[in-house]
Amino acid sequence: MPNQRSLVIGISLVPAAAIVGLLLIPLWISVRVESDAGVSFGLRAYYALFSDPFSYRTLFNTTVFSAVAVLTALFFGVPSAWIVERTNLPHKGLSFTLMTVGLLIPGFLSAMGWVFLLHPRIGLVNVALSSVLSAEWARINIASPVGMGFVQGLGLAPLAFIMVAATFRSTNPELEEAAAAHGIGFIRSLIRVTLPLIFPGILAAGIYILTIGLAAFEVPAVIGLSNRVFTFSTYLYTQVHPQEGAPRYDLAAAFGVFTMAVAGLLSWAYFRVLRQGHRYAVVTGRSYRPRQVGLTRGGVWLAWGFLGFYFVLGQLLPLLTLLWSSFLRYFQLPSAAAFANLSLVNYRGLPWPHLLDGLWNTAVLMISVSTLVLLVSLAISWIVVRSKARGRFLLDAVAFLPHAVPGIIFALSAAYVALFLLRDFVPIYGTVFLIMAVYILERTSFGTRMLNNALAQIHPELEEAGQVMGISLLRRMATILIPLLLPALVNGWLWIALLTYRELTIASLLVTPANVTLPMVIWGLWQTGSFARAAAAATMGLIFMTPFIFCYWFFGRRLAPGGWQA
Amino acid sequence: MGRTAALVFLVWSVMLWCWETPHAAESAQSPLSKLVQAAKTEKELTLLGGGGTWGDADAQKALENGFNRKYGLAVRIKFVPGPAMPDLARRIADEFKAGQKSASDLFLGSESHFVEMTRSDALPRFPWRETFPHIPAAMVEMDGRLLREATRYIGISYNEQLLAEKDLPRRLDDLLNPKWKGKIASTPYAASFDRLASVIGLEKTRDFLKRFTQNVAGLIRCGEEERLASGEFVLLALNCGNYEAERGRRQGMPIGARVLSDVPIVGYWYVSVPKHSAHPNLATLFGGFLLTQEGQKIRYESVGATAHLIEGTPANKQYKELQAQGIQLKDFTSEYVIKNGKTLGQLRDEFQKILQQR
Repeated sequence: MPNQRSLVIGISLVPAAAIVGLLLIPLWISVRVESDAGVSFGLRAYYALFSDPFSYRTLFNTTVFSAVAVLTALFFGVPSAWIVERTNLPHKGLSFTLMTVGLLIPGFLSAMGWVFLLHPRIGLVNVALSSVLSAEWARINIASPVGMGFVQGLGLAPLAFIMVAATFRSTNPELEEAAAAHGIGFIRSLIRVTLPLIFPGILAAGIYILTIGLAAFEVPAVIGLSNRVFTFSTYLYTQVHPQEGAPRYDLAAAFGVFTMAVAGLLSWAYFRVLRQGHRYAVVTGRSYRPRQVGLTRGGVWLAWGFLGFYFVLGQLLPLLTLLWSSFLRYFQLPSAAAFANLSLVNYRGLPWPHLLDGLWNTAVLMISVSTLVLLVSLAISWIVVRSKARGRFLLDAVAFLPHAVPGIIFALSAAYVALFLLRDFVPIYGTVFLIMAVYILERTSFGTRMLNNALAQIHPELEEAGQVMGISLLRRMATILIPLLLPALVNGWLWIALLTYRELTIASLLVTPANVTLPMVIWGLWQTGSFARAAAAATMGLIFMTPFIFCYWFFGRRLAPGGWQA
Repeated sequence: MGRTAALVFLVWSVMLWCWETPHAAESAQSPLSKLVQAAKTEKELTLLGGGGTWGDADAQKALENGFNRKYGLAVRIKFVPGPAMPDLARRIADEFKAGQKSASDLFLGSESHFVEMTRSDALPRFPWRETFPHIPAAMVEMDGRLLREATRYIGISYNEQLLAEKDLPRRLDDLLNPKWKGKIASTPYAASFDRLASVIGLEKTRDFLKRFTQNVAGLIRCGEEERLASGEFVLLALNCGNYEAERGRRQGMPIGARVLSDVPIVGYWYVSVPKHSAHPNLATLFGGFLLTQEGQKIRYESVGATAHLIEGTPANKQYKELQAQGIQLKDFTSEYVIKNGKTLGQLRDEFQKILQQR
C-alpha cells in the first residue's frame, strides 16, 4: 500500500518539479542584467516594464479583452452545456459536434476571417452596413479590446462548454426533484438550485478562460497588432521578436513573472472554491442519474436556434472565410471578379512532404500527450482532492502555473534547458520528445482542472467502502474511480488531443525540420505572409482531422452516462 | 650523336611529363571543382525560410533543378517553411553556442540579422571570389563571412487598384497629407527609419514620425503584401524593399512600389553558411549558385529580388534608373549595421514606441 501511494506521489512530483524548474528560469532571466562590465543582478527589467505608461495601457487593454472573452465564452458555453446535458433535446451528438468542430480551425485564421467580416473599411458586414447607413457610427470596429475579446470568447466557448458540461452531467437530480416536489418552478429551480450546484464548474471554467485571455496571442496579434491595439502578449511578442537587434528577454521574462503572480492569485481564488468542494459533491454511491428536463416543441426550436446561432457565428463564418480565402491568391470580398479568380493554386503550392511529416508528428503527439497528461493529472488531482497530504494545494498551484504563463516563456525556458543543460545527458533538442515533454507539462494544468472538478463531485464514500474491503489504492482507482471518471477522462483525452493539434506558440520555439508539427507548417506559411496558402494548409488539416472528429462524436456520445443518445 | 640526342630528348620528355602531370592535374582541380566534389558527398541540403525567402513550390523546384544542372549534381533540397528571418537567425546562433547542428544549412537574411551570429563567431570566412570568380569583390563582406545576395531599395508599397499614379507620394512629407489618415500602414519594427535618421538627421526623423503616426492605421510586417492587395491598407511606408511588390505581382496581386526621392536607402539580403551547418559544402556551392546568371534569373522570377552589382539584372537596371533620376543612393551594409549596432538599436526602440502610439 505505501509503495502504491509513493508511486502516485512520484508520478505527480516529477512533472511538478520540472514545472518549477522551468518557471524559475524566467525569474532568473528577469533579474539578470548583462552589460559591458559583465553580469549582475537587479530589477532593471521590472522597472522598465512598470515605469512605461505604455505598459499600463497594455494592461488595461488586456483586462478588457480577457473579461469580454470570459463573458462571451460563458454566454455561449454554459447554456449550450445545459441544453446538451440536462435536457432531452433530440440529436445531441450532432450538437456536440457543432459546438466543438471549430476547435480545429487555428485561432489566427478565425481571426483573419473576422478581420474580413468586420474590418472598418473592407469588412463584409461593414460594407453592407455602409450601403444602408452612411453614418460612421453604424460601422462595427473589430479592432478594439472589446471586439478582440468577443472573437477570442467565441473561440473559447467550446472550452466553457466542455468544462461546464462535465459538471452538468454529474448534477444531483435529488435536489432538483425536491425543489419540484415543493412546487418551485423551473426557472426558479434553475436559478436557486441548479446554478448554485454547478457554480464551481462555471467558476473553474471562468478562471481557466481568464488566464487564457491574459496570455492569448493569436487574436490580438492578427487583429490588434496591425491596428495598434496591444495586449500583454503582443507587447511581449514585439520584445522577443524584434525584426532587428537583440530580443529583450529580460522584459519578456519580467512579464512572465508578473503573469505568474496573477495566476497565483487566480489559483488562490480557485482553491477557495475547491476547499468547499464537499458542498457540491453531487455524485454519491446512493444515486447517480442526472435528471433530464423535458423540452416542449417550442423549447426544442429555441434550443436548436441558440446552438445554431453560435455555430454559425463562432464556427461556420470563420470556416467559410477560411475555405473562401484558400481558393484565392489574396483575400477578396465575394464578387464576380473574385469568383473568376478562384483556383487551386494555393493547394498545389503547398509543401506537401513537409505537411505530411507535420501530420505524422502531430498524430504521435496527440495520442501520447493526451494519455500521459491524464495519467499525471489523475495522480496530482487525487493527491489534491482526496489525500490529506501537506502542501497538496501548493502542488495544485504548481500544476496550474503553466496554463497562466505565456506559452512563449515556457517554450523559451524549455529550449534553453534542452540546448544548454541537458544536451550532454539527454540530447532531446530537435526531437519530438522535447515537444512532447513540454506539451505534457503545459497541458497538465488543463488535465488537473478538469479532474479536480470531476473528483470533487464524486463523494469519497465509494472509495472509502473499497478501502474498508481491503482493496489496494491502484485497484480502487482502476475499478471505482476511473469508471466513474470515464466521461471526464474521455472528454479530457479528446480535448487535450485537440489542444495538442492546435498548439503552435510552444512549438514555434522548439520545432526543427526533424520534429515539425502540422500547426507549425501552417504557422510558417502565415508568419511569412502567405495567408492564402496558410488557409489552404489549414483546410487540409481539417480534412486530415475528419476521422478524429468522427471519433470524438462517436465515443463521446457512447461513453457519457445518460447523455448524447443521438 | 643522333642516338644520344634522341636519348636526351626522351629523358627530358619523361622528366617534363613527370613534372607536369601533377601540376596539370592540380590546375584542373580548381577551388570550384574541389567544392563540387566535396558537395557530391553530401546528398541533401536543408533550407529554412518562408515563402518570401525561397519562393513557392514551383520556385523551389526551379532552384533545385537549376542548381543540380549547373554543377552536375543530383541532390535534394529540402525547403522547410521556417520562422521569420530574425527568429531563425537567433536560433542558429543559439544552436551554435549549444554545439548543435544548425537547423538550416544556409541562412539568408538582411544586414541586421547577422549581428548575433557574428558576435557568437558562428560564421566562417570563405574565399568566395577564388571559388566563384564571377562574384564582384564588393559583394563579399566581413572577410568572406557574408555574401550579398540581393539589393533592397527601400520605399513604399501600395495597392495599384486603389491608388492612381498621380496620387502616389513622391517625397517623405507627402506621407503626412491628411488624406492618408486611417488608410496606411507601417511596420511594428519601424523598418529603415533608423537608417533614415542618418540620411536626413535624427531630429527631422523624430519630428516626421510623430506626425506620420497620426496617419498610420496599423502596423504590418514586411512580406504581408496580401493585406495591401485585399485593401485592408492602401499603402505601406517604409517597406523592406521594392522587390516585395515584384513578388506580389508575380502572385497576381495588384501591388506596386516606388522609391521616395528623399529616402535613398539601399539595404541587402546576405547569405552565409554557419560553421555548424550539417552540409557546409553543398550550402556554400548553393550560395555561389544564387549569384550566377541562372541563379539570379530564378530568384527574380520567384521572389523578385536580384543583386544590382551583377550586370544585366533587374536590380542593376533599377540602380541605373534611380541614379539617372538624380537620387544619390546610400548603402547600408552589414559592416555599417554591426559597427553601429548599439546606436541603431536605441533609435529603433524610440521609433517603435512612436509608431505604437495611436
